[in-house]
Amino acid sequence: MLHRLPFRAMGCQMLAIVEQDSENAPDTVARVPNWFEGWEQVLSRFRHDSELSILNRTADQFVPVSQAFWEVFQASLQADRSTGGLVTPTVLEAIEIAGYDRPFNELSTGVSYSNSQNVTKLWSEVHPLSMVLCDEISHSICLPPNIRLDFGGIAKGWAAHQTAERLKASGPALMNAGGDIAISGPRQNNEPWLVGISNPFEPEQDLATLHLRSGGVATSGKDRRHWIKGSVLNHHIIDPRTGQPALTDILTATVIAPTVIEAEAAAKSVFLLGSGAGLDWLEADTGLAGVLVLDDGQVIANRRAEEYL
Amino acid sequence: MAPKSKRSWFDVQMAIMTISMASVLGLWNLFAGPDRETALRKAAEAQASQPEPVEAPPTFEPAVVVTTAVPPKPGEKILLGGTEPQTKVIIQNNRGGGGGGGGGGGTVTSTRSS
Repeated sequence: MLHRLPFRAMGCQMLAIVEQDSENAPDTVARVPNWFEGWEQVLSRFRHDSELSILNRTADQFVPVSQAFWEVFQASLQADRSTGGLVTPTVLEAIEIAGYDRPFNELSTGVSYSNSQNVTKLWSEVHPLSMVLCDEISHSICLPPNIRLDFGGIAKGWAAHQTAERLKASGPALMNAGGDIAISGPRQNNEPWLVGISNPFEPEQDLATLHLRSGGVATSGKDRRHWIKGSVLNHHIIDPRTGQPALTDILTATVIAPTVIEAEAAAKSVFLLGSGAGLDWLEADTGLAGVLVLDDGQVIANRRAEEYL
Repeated sequence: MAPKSKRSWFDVQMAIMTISMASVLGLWNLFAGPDRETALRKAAEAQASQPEPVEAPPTFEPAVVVTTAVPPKPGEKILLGGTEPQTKVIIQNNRGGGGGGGGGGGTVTSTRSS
C-alpha cells in the first residue's frame, strides 16, 4: 500500500511516498516535513539566520558548519567537477542581479536591478570556487569577501536523496522534492515506479512515463521560475560562463541518473549547454539518460532514455 | 490470269507504302535535325556560361534528427533508422497540443522544473 504525504518546503511542492503494509507507515511518512524544515533552516538563502546566510555574511574567516551543510557543500563541489564548472554554487550574485533576490512567490515588478557588468567581469577571470577554502577535518569553510554560496537544486536533490535513504528502512520509498525525485529501490512486487515527465506546455499532463527501479530523476527548465526584467524574460538558471540567465533552446531538461543529485546537476548542465552540445554531453556519460523539451515543442532524447520509457 | 493481276496490285501497294515511309523518314531527318542540333548547341552554351561548381563544405551528421512529415500519435515513439546518429526524436510534440498522451497512466508522481 502506498502512503503519500504532500507538503510544501524549500519553496516547492513536495511528495513523500513509502510502500508499506504496516500500520506504522503513516507515522513514518509524517516525519518527512520536519526533516525538510531542519534542512531548510541550514541551507536556505532566504532565511537570515540559516547556516548558509551566516556563512555568506562572514568573509575571510573559517566558519564551522553542520554535517548536513558539509554534505551538501561536498555534493555541490562534485557537481561543479562533473559538469566542468557549469553547475557551481557561486552564482548567487548573478541570480540576485538577474532579479531573483527573494523567495520566488514574493517577486514583483518592484524588483530593483543593478548593472550586470561586474558579474560578467567576475566570471571572465578565475573560477570563484577556487577561492573558497575549506577544512575537511573541522568541516569549516572560508569565503572570500566577494563570493557567496547558493546550493539551489543541489540542496533539494540532496534532501530528496536523504529522505529516500531514511524511508527505505520502512519500505520502498520515493521522494519528490519539487521535481527532483529519489527512488530507494523497486516496489514491493519488484515492479518499477512509474514517474511522469510533466509537459511544460500543459503542466497538468505528462508527455512520457518513466519506469524507474532506483536512482534519481530531475528536471531543470525555464518554464516555471521566470520573471520580467525590463522587457526581457529572465529565469533562475545562471550560465556561469556569462553570469547571465542562460540562453538556450531547451525549455526543460529531464535527466535520469544513478542518484538524484547527479540527475539534478546533469539536467542543469544539459540545459545550459543547449540541445546539441547537451545531448553529446549526455552520450559521453554511460550512466545518464535524458529527455529534452525544446522551445519549439520538440521532444528529443538520447538513446539510453529508451530503457526507461 | 486473275490471281497474277492481284499479286501485281499488291506489289504496287507495298512499293507505294515503302516509298511513303522512306519519304517521311527522310523529310523528318531533313527538318528535325537542324532544330535538335540548335537545341544541343544552346544547352552546351548555357552549361558553359554557368560558374564553376564550388565544392560544398563538409557537413556533419546532425546530433538530432527531426521529422515533421507524419505527425505521430500522442506518445508514439519515432525511431529513425541506422546506427547513427546517437540521438533520436521520440515524440514530435507540438506546442499546446499533440503531446500529453505518453504518460499519466499509473504514475505515482511527475518530475518538472521547479
